[in-house]
Amino acid sequence: MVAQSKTEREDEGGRSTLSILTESMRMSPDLRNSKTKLRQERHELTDEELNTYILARLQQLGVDLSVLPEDDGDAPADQRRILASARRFLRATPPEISALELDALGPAPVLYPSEMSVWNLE
Amino acid sequence: MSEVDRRVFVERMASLSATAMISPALLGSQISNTRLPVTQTNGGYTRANIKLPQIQVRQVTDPTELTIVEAAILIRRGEISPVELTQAYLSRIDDWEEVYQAFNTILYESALESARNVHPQRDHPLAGIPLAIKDNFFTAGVRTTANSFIFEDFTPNFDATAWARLRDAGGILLGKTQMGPLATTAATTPTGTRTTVNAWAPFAENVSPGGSSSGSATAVASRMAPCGTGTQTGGSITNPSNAQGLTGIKPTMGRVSLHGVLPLTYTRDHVGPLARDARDAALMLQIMAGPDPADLRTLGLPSVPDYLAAVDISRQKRPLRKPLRIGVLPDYLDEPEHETGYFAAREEEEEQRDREREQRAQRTHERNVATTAARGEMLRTLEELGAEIVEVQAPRDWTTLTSSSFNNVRLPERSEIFLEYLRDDVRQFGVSLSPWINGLLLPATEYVRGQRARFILLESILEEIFTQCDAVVQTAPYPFDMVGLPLVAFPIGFETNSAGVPRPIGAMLGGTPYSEDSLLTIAAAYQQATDWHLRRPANPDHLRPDAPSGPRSPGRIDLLDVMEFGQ
Repeated sequence: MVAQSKTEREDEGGRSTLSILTESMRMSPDLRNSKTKLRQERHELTDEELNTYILARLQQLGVDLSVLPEDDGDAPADQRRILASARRFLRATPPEISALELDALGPAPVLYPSEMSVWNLE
Repeated sequence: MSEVDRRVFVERMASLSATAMISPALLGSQISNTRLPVTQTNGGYTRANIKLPQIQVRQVTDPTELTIVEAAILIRRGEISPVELTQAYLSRIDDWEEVYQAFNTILYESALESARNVHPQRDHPLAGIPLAIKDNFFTAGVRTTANSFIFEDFTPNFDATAWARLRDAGGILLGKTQMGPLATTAATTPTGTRTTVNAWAPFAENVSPGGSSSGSATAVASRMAPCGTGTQTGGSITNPSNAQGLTGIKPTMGRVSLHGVLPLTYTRDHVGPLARDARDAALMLQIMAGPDPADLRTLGLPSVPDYLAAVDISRQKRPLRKPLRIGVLPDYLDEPEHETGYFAAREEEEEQRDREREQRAQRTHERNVATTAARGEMLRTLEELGAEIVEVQAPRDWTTLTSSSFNNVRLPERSEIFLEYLRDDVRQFGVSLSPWINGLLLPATEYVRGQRARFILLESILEEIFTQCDAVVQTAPYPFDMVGLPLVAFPIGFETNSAGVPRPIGAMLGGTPYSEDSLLTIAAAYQQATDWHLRRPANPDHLRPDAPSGPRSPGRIDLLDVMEFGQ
């Protein structure tokens, strides 16, 4: 059961997950001279480390995946596929977003950009 | 402080006060069931002063063929009664709903009762018009499930602002339509069993009905309803419109109130119509649009223009007079990529014989060739109508800022909305659980950076695309729905498969903030010169495969597909 191993995995993997990602900077060619820069980061977190990170985060929030079947392709959701999806997400999304370097004096975060564009009109 | 700034300030403060009223109710795990004050004006246009356009009504033998404008005119003339019109739609529902599965609630009795009580002499533009409302709109006293376990027993005690405005304009609630669970995918049960089919190919499991508003789309395309409402976070108005030969408008963020619509993503949810043509879409949008103190996103915006005037092109020979420039991105006339969607994904995951794969690839190629040809023909038609077609370049950072990772910035918003439900029992999310879990895992640093990137993306679109043109063709709803820009979708042709069954091909045009009127003008002009929007699918008995005559076997979507292709 994944739920039973949560604590163990937290202990085993928490430090690894918190370790600084190894970086290898590379500038995307299409971003040269643009307003943004993309920093590519390489990371080699294992499935086990990512599972630990995922389950620790969910446990912190009080979200329990153990109520799902462990591995049942016929079920609407199971732990295996949820974790697989989460690992894929973590390997792609946060690194790509954080690799985008923005000017500190660049735009402030905007939740509703189209509205902001109108408010900016003279 | 300028006049606009002052108005923004005052209205936002008023809105924040109103919003504060519901804060206690939102604490905990309950979606608020408290109605907030709903303004009855929309920037000058009230429900009472929207005048129906005076058009020549087509002669039809089946009243379900009428557009809502046509039906409303005939009702006022006394040539058809609201009861007759409503009954005509209910009869089609009786005949074909078993195949289409477009509704999850059908209001036979109350719809007819409402129709009996219509007074057409009252100046209500939708008096006696039955409507299909997506099941994430609150409808007072009528179950609102969003096709989810979470809300399977939820009955709101007030109407969503958008539906309240349609109702106040005389609209009749015909039914609530099927949708993806919590608006994530094409319509399925909470466990992922496909429900709604494409009205043009009801027995073809590999033909998607579109996104999460596919119930409304199928209801309208199949003539089980004259018009419907949808919501779009990632394509769910424009995709089903294109998939089923309809005209859909995804308005600019804030143009239509989201109050009383079950939220998916605060910053990207939009309400809009799925209609038979641009004129119907304009009428629906005219009614739904405008400020609402219960939704601060609607406040401080430019006044709602006259959309009906925008589509009244009065048979002008060249209604799109220059300098209207329609931008075309360089790859628009290239052969499109293979269609994405859960059906395609499932096909890839399954082991197929090589021959079947080749056949599928051939069909895709044929459709892509037809799509490219239809796009080229559309551009030629628009040019003949007076538009200037200009090639525009994608902004420099387009590829990066529109990647799926930046699209995923939306996910924490849904996770936050539904956090208490996630804590309660993740099984309530059924097949759509994955994006909610992933949203919990995106750190705040990346969320903030993603929001900054979104504004940069919008700025680049405005500065690098819309300085070259007034509207731009799009091959997908993304990224315009990501940054809140308006989109119109409309049919531009058909592709016919080897069995001779036609399937719609659609186009999308994007515009600048609050330029829905311009987009509607383009769509209306195009529809004046073409008749794709008038075509209707054959009834299912003409499309049923030769072999089995029993009910079709429903397909399923997979949890991983929801993350990959859901909105």
